[in-house]
Amino acid sequence: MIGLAPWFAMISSVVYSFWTNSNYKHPILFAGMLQFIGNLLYANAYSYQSVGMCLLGRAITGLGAPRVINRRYVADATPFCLRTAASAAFAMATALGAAAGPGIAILLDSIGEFEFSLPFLKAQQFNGMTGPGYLMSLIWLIYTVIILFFFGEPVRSGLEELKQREEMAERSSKQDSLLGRRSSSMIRDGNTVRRTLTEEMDEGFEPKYSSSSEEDFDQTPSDDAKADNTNESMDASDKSKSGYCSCMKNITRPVIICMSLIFMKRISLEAIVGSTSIITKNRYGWSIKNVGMLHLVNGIIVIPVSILSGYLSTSYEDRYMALWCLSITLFGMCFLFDPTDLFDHETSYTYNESPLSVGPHSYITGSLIAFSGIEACESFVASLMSKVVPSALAQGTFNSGLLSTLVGTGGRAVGDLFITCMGLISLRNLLNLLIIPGATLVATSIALILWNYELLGV
Amino acid sequence: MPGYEEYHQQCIEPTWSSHYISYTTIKQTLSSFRSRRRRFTQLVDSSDLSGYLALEDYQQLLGASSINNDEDASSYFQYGNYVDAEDALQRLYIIERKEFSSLLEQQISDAAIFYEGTLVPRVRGLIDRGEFEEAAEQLLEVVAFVTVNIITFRQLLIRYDVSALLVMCIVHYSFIHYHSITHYVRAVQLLQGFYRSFSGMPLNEWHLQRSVLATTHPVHHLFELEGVDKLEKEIILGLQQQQQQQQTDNNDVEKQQLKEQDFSIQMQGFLHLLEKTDRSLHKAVAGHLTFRDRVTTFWIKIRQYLAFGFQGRGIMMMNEPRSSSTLRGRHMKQEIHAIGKWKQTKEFDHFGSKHGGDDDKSKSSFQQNLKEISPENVFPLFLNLLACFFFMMNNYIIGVYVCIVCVSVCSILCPSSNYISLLPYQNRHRRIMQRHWEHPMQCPES
Repeated sequence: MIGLAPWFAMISSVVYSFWTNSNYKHPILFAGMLQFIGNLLYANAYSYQSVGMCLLGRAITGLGAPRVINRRYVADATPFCLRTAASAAFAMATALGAAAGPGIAILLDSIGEFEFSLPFLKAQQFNGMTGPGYLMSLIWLIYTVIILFFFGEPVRSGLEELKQREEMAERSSKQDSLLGRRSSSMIRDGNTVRRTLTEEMDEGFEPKYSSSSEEDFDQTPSDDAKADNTNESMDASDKSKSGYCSCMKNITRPVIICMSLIFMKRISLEAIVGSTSIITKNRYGWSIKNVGMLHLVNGIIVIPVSILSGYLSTSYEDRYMALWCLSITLFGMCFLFDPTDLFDHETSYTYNESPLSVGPHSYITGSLIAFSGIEACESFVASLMSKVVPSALAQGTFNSGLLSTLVGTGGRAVGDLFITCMGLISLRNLLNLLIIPGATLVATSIALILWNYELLGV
Repeated sequence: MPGYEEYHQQCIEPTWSSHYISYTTIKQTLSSFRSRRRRFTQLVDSSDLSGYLALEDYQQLLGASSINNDEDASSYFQYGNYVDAEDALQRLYIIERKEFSSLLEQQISDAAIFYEGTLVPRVRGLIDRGEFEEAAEQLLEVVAFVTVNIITFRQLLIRYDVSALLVMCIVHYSFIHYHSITHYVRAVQLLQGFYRSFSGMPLNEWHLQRSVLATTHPVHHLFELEGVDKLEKEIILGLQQQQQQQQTDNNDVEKQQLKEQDFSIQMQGFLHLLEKTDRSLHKAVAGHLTFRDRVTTFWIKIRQYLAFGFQGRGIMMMNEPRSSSTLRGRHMKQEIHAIGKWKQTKEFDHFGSKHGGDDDKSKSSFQQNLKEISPENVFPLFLNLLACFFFMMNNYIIGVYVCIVCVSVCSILCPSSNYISLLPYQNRHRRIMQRHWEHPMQCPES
C-alpha cells in the first residue's frame, strides 16, 4: 500500500518533467487535483470496504507527486547565488513534512471514531485510518484553489543565468583560441601574452577604457560563419532537447559525478536511517515509540541544519561545503561502527557489553551526526547538480530535477535492497554490515569530489 | 611548500634585481634579533644578581650586532656595573626597531628612486616616441615592480610584528621568574605600546607620514603610484588612435582591441592586489591573528596555566624557541605568488577565491542575494515548497499508520519495507523477525 505511491511517482515524474518544459501552473494544478482525488479515494475505501479503491487511491496519490516540479522550479527560477539556499529550503520542507506527518497521524488517531456524510457519497467513517486521507484531501483541495487563483507563471531567471554563463564560457574559449592563433606575434622576452578576457571580466576586472563593446569585438568575419554554425547547432539541440539521445550526449562528466554523489549518498542514508527500527530493536530492545522519537529528533534537527546550510551557501562554494558535510557524515558513521563485532560475531556474550561496542548513546549520537551531515549535503549536491547541468538538458525533459529524482529514487530502492540482503546475511552483525559499506560509499564520494574539484567549480 | 622568499625570487625582473627590497637581508636581520634576544635571556639567567644584567655582558651583546649605536650603553645606564633587566630589554627593543626601520627605509628609498628616476621616464620616452605597445608592456612591468616592493614592505612589517610577539614570550620568562606579577604586567604594557606600531602609530603609516623622509621623497610617489594613472590613460588613448588608423585591416583592429583590453585588465589586477594587501596589513595592525596563531597562543596559555599550578619552574617552557616560533601571523604569500605566476604567464590566477571563504566579493550577504531573485518568482517558490511539505506529510501521515500495523505483526523493516524491492524477501524476513522480535538479545542467525 505504501510502496505503490513512490513507484507511480517515478512514472509520473517523467510526464511532469516534459510538461514543465512549457508551463508550470498546469502540471501543479493537475498534480494537486490528483492528490485530492487519490486521498479521497483512499479515505473512502474504508466505508466501501474496498482494498482495490484503497490501492487505486494510493496509486493516484503517487501519480500526483509534485516533487519533480518543485525541484525543477528551484533549478529554473532561482538565481545561482540563492540556489543552494533554495535547495536547503526544499530539504527543510521535506524534513518538516516527514516529521509532521507521523505526529499529525497520531493526533488524528486520538480524536476518536465518528460518522459524517459527504455529497454524492454514502456515510463516511472518520478514524485513525481514514482521518489522514480526509485531512490531506482537504489540504490539497485548498492548495489547488490557491494555485488556480494566485500562482503566476514564473520567470525562468535561473535558466537564463545558466545560458548566459555557458555563452560567456563559450566566448571565453573562442577568444582563448583566437589569442592562441596569434600568440606568435605577441611573444616578447620569452613570455607568451595570453589572456581570457571574459574570464577576467566575469570575476570583476572590468576594462576601464574599453571603447568598443563585446559585440563589436566578437563580430569578425572569420567568426561569423562559426557563430552561424553554433546557432544552427543550438537550434537543432533545442529541437531535440527532449530526446533520449540528446540527453545522453549532454550528460557531461560533472553531471555524472553529481548523479553518482546523489546515488551513493542515498544508499548511505538508507543504511543509516532505513535500518534504525530493526537495529535498535535487535540491539537495545527499543519499542516503535523510541524509534519514532529518534526519527522525530532527526526531522527536527534538519531544520536548523538546513537554515545553516542556506546561510553558509552565501559564503562558500557548493563543492567545498559538500566535502565538509560528507566528512561530518563519515565522522558520525564512525560512532556507528562496532569493532567488537569483528572479533566475536557469532555469540552474544559481548553483544553490547564491551565499552567499545555501539551502545544506545553512541548509536543516537552517530545517527544524529551522520543524518544531519547527509541532509545538509543534500542541499549542496542538489544545487551543484542544477548548476553543472548543461542548459540543453536544463530546458528539456531530462533536467536536473528529473535526474535527481530518478537517481535518488533508484538509490533508495538499491539501499532498501541492500538492507534486505545484509539482513539475510546476518542480523547479528547487521550494523557493521550496513555501516562499513555505507562509510566506504561516503569516503568514495569525498574522494570523487576531491579528484574532480576543479570540474565542480561553478 | 615554497615560502614567501621563493615566490619573491620568482617576481624579480633580472635586470632590476638590485633595486628591489631585499627580503632575504631583512629577514636575516629579524632572525638575528631573535637570536640576540635568546642570548639576552641566557645572560639574565646566568647573572649573579637576580633581575639584573652585567653592563659588560650587555655591551658585548649589543656590540656583537650591527646596530648603529649613537650613544654608548654605559652612558645610557648610569647605574654602575649592572643594569636592570627590564630597562635593558626595553632599550634593546628600541634599538632593534630603529635598526629595522632604518634598513627598511633605506631599501624602499632605493626602490622608489629607481622607480621615479629610471622606470617612469623610460615609459614616458616610449609613449613620446609613439611606441604604445612597448610602453604598455613596460608599464605593466613597472607596476609589477612597484607592487612587489609594496607587498614585500607590508610583509616585512607583519614579520616584524610577529617578531615583537616573540619578545612578549621572553618577557613572560624574564619578569615572572625574577620579579612579581606586577612587574610582568608593567613590562607587557610597555611593549604593547610598540606592538605593531611606532609610538602608537601603525608602522606603515609611520613610514609614510612621520619618518625622516620628506613628503616630496620618491617613496611617497611609489606608494601612491604617482604618474602611473596618467601614463595608463595615455597608452590606452594611443592604442585607440592606432586602432582607428588601422581600421582597414580587421585582424589588426581585433588584435589591437585585445591588447588594449588585456592591458586594462592587468592594470586592474595589480590594483586589486595592492588593495587586498592593504586590507591584510590593516587587519594585522588591528591585532588580527590567523587561526593557527590563535591556537598556538591558546596552547601557550594552557601550558602557562599548567606550569603555574604544578611546577615552580614550569614557566621555563614558555621560553622555548620552538613554541614561540610557531607564531606565523598574517602573510601575503598568495599575493606574491600571484605576481610570480603573472611573470611567467602574464595572467592572474585569481588567488583566494577558490573556496570563496577569503574573498570579500563572495561574502555578499544573504540579504543582498535575496534581492537577486525576481519578485514574481517568490510566491510561486513558496507554493512549491509548500507542495513539497504537503507531499512528504501525505506520505508519512499514511505511512506511519501502516507501519504501526506492520510492526504489530512483526513484519517490518521500517521504512525499508516501504518498497517493492523488498517484496521477494518479505516472508523470509517475517519469520526471522518474528523470532528476533521475541528474543532480541539472543541474536538468532538468519
